[in-house]
Formats: sequence, structure tokens, C-alpha cells
Amino acid sequence: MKPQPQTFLEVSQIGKTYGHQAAVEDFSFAFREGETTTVLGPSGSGKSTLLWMIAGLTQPDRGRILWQGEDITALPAERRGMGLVMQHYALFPHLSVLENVTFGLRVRGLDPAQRRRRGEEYLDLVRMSALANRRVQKLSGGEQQRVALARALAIQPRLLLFDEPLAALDAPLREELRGELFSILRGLRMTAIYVTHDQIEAMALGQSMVVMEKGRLAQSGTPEEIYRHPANPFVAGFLGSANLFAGEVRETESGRQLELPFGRLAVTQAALGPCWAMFRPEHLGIVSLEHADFIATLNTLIFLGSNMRLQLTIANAPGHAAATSTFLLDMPPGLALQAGQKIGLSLDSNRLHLWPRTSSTADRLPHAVA
Amino acid sequence: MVEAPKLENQTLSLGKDGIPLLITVALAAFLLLPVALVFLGAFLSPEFLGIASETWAAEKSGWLTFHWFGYVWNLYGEAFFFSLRLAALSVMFCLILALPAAYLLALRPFKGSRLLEEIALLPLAIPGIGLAVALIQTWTLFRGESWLILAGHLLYTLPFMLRVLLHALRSMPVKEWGWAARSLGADSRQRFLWVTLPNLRPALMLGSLLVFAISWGEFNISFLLNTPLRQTFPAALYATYTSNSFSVSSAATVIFLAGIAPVLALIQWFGGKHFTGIGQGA
Repeated sequence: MKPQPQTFLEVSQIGKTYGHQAAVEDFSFAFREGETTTVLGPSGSGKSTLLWMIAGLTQPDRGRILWQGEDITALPAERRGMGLVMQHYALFPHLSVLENVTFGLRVRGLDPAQRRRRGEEYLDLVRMSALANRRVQKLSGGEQQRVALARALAIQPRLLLFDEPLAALDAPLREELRGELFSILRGLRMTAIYVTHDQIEAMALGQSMVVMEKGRLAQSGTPEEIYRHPANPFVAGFLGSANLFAGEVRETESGRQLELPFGRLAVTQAALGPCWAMFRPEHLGIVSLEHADFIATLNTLIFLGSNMRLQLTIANAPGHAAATSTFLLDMPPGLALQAGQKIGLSLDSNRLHLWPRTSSTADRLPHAVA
Repeated sequence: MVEAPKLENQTLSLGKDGIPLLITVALAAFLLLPVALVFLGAFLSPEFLGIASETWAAEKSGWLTFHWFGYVWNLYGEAFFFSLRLAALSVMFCLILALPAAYLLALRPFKGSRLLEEIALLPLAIPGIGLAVALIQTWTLFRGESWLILAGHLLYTLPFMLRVLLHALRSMPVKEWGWAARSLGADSRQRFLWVTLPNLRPALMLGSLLVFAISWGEFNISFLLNTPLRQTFPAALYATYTSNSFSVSSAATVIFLAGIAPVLALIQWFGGKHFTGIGQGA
């Protein structure tokens, strides 16, 4: 049996308010040793504030931070021994690459020879040895971030904190560095907390993942668990693409049915009443018109290489605010389709996610296609 | 086939670039002519220059003379050293006062800190003569005291130093450096000495040079606050122009310029290297 990772860092009912705005509210989570936990959320969801409180750079108003059971809430940042990698690198411009990496070792009073040895070791790890004596201003963004990573690693931190480290880089470089970060974090079995608004980064790097919404924990789990079983419409829409509609489950003569703006679908085990209904773009199937659950019109067709993304519309039943419903469908490329064409769709009700729709969730529609 | 590049545009002609060029040359000549004249007056013997009234003091032979420098030095050497000390002390006190003030205003702003900053920069907007008169009226009893002259110089130079440091601190990610340094274990002393201060060095250097130059050339406050026994060099310079010969005042001017020229050159070199837009609005 695989040994269960230990709780390293525990954040308990932590909260921070700026003015009248709660940035983080009643947040509790146990981060595990040797794992990378990604914290995903839109801007303003409080994820950076959370990280800053863990780093000790922001003092929480409420709650506690525990390190292996010991309360470190009041411990100043400089005594926490946590490495920090930020979006804009924050390298020291008056120092060389190597001097930046060994800064934390100088603080710790290591002699120059030891500093140099360990600095070079970590520069090697981030493949920056060749530029050890360069001025940091002469480096590209990607190189600067590698140096910042080596600088944080060189102090052999008990925890590594990342605040959107790749956000300032362009896409190809971001992907390359993400891959390298993955190997380094897994290779060192580093315990890391990685804050990002990029769902691909969050899923790629996180062994576990926390989704935040408006300062609160919306859901936690492995990326796959969260993607497959989103806890609410917000999580569904924020992690991956989602087709989200307001519907209602009713009991009819032909059994229990989900009523959507544009049609009906048999559902066996759903609770009665108003609900949010969500299905992923990849869970819609194309079938012949006579076997279709719904018939939609193809609006646009985007070729994305490994798959095609179709945007479809269906006329809504009378009485709905919007005349049509729009949604996405992902499929492997190959089918010859044309805009304007009628397409028969099938939806497996097992792939359907339903959440009770109350007035309090009415405003929780994320940027899903609805 | 590759055509030879045409050189027409590169040759000087009185075409569309000619008139601005002429204006520039004329302006430069207008600015440099008095300086040239001063040098002539300082180094050439009055006889050679045709100023008969001053031949009494000059060496009789040759056209080149250093006589006037000796004359000025004997008379105003003390003022030279007084100005030098004043400028050095101004730099020192500006550093001691402006560094913590700029740090506070730029990095730990509080309620009313903007207003405080405006007040601190206010002397820049008041004519020196106004400041001098205000100082005399406030501290009548101490007129002529060196410390009052120093205080006047500080009033005038501190805003420059403050401005340079504020600009530097606000244009650098000092906060982010602080976060990074804290996460690496650096306490506040180490953060200041190992991160902030080294990065402020160019600004401190430029600010010091500016303060030195301003204090060295400051006239209004020095003139109104000084006494014949406690004179700054610019005040002495003024005295040479009002009561000495052309040759004496020229020599005094050359000495004055010799004190400031290296500093100005350093400012040019340093400012161009590390800063852009520093003096804007100053």
C-alpha cells in the first residue's frame, strides 16, 4: 500500500479583510508533504492573499496556520523558511545570477565556497550554469524566472510557494517552463503551493488542487476528480469548458425528465425541482437526425488540431428570455461539416451534472456558455 | 546592381537643416563668449588686453599671467574653503535627512504623507531671495552664523535630494525585492543594506552631486545671510565684480568654475548613465 502523504501545512479557518472586502474567508485546508497543490481561481478570488498569508507576508485577521501542528501564524516571513517565486521574478539587479541564487545562503552565514558550490548546483538544476556571472537585467523573462526558482530552491525551503510564476511569459515559453517545473518539483519531491488562474497550469502541475471563489474554498481534490465531479456550476465553468443551462427536473407520465430551455431529456435519479444542468463539450455525440435527442444548427467550426470545436445553437421553447441556446461540442476532426447545417445530438444522461438551483446560486454563473 | 549610396543628404548645406543649425551655433557662441572672455581676462596680462589702469599690479613682462589668481586666493581663499565645507556638509546632511524621509514617503505612505511631501518640495518653487529674507526675519539674531547659512542651503538643496531619491525608490520594485529577501530569510537590516541601499547608490550619487553643485553655486541665501567675515565663494565672487578689477573678477570666476566643472561633468555622465527625466519639474 502506498504510504499516505503527511499533513505538512494546515490552514485553519483563515480570513483576511481589506476595508469592507473579505479577500479570504473561513478558508481551511491541509496541504500534504511532497506534493504540489495548485490553487486555482479567477482574479480577486483571494488565492494570492492566501499564499501571502502562508508566506507570512500578510497577517491574517482570523484563523491559524499550523506547521506540523505548530502554530506559525505570527512567525515573521523571514523565519518561515519558505521559498517564494513571484510573477515578476523580483531578482536583485545589482547582483549577478549566481549572487542572486546564493543570497539566501549569505543570509544564513554560509562561507563563500559553500555558497558557490550550492549556488552552482541549483543553477545546474534550472540549466542556467552557463550564465552564472551574467547581470540579471541581461536575461530574458524565462531565464530570470529560472534564476528566481534556483534562488528559492537554494535555501532548501520546507515549502515552495509560487504566485503566478509563468503569467508574464508568452505561451510557448510558458509551456516549456511548465514542463521543467513539473520535473523539478516531482524530482525533488518538493512540497509546493502553486497559485494560478490558468487551468491548464493548475491541472498539469497539481497533484492536488484547490479551487477558490470569492475568498472561499469552492472545491478541493485531484484535478481529475474536480474536472469529472465539479462541486458547483462555478467550478464546472472555471475548470474546463462547460455547457451550463438553467433547467428543472419534473415528474411526467413518461418518467422523470429534465426540462431544458431547448428540449427534454430523461433523467432517472435526479432530484425534483429547479436545477443547473451542465455537460462538457466532449460529452455530446453526433447522431443521425432521426435518433437525435436534440437537433441543433452549426454556427461555427474551429479546427484545433487534435480536435474540432463546434459552436451550436438550438431554438428555445417559447417563454424563455433568450430565443436560442448556444453550446459547444468537441469532437475528433474528420467529419465534413458546414456552417448552417442541421446536426443531430445525443447526450448521455450519465454525463450530465445537475445542481439544485436556488436564488443564492443564481448569480454564480461563471464564464460558461449558457 | 548595387547603387552607391547618395551622400547629398549628409553634406552640410543651408537647406532645410541649415537654419536650425545656424541658430544652434549662434546660441552656443552667445553662451560661450562670456566664458571665453572671462578666461582671457584671468590669464592675459592687462597690458596685453589694453587695460592700462591695471598695469600697476601685473608682472611687467609677457602676455600670460597667474598673478590675479594669487591675488584672489589671498583675499578670498577662506571663502573658497568655507563654500567647500558648506557644500560637503550640505551633501552630508541631505543624505542623513533625505534618505529616511524618502524611504518613508515612497514605501510606507501614510495619511497626509503626500501633503508632507509637497511641503518638503515647496522650497523648489520659492525664489531663493524669498527664502533668504524669511530666514533673516525669523533668525535675526543669528545672522552671519555659519549654521544659519548651512540651514539655508539645506532648505534649498534638500528638496533636490528628496526628489531624486523618491524618483528612484518609486521606479524600483523595492517592495517585491523586500518580499523576495524576506522569504530568503533577510531581516530588515539585511534587506536595507544588501538590497535597497546598493540599488539606491546611483541615485544617492546623483543627488549628492546635485546638492554639491547647487550649494556651491547658491548665491541668494549666502549673500543675504553672510557677513564680510563669513563669506561664501559666490558672495566673494560678487564682491570681486563690484569692487575689483575685471582681471581679478575673471580669475575669481575661473576658480569658481574649477570648483564646479568636475561635479557638473560627473552629473552629466552619471545622470545619462542611470537616469532619465530626473530633473523634470524640479
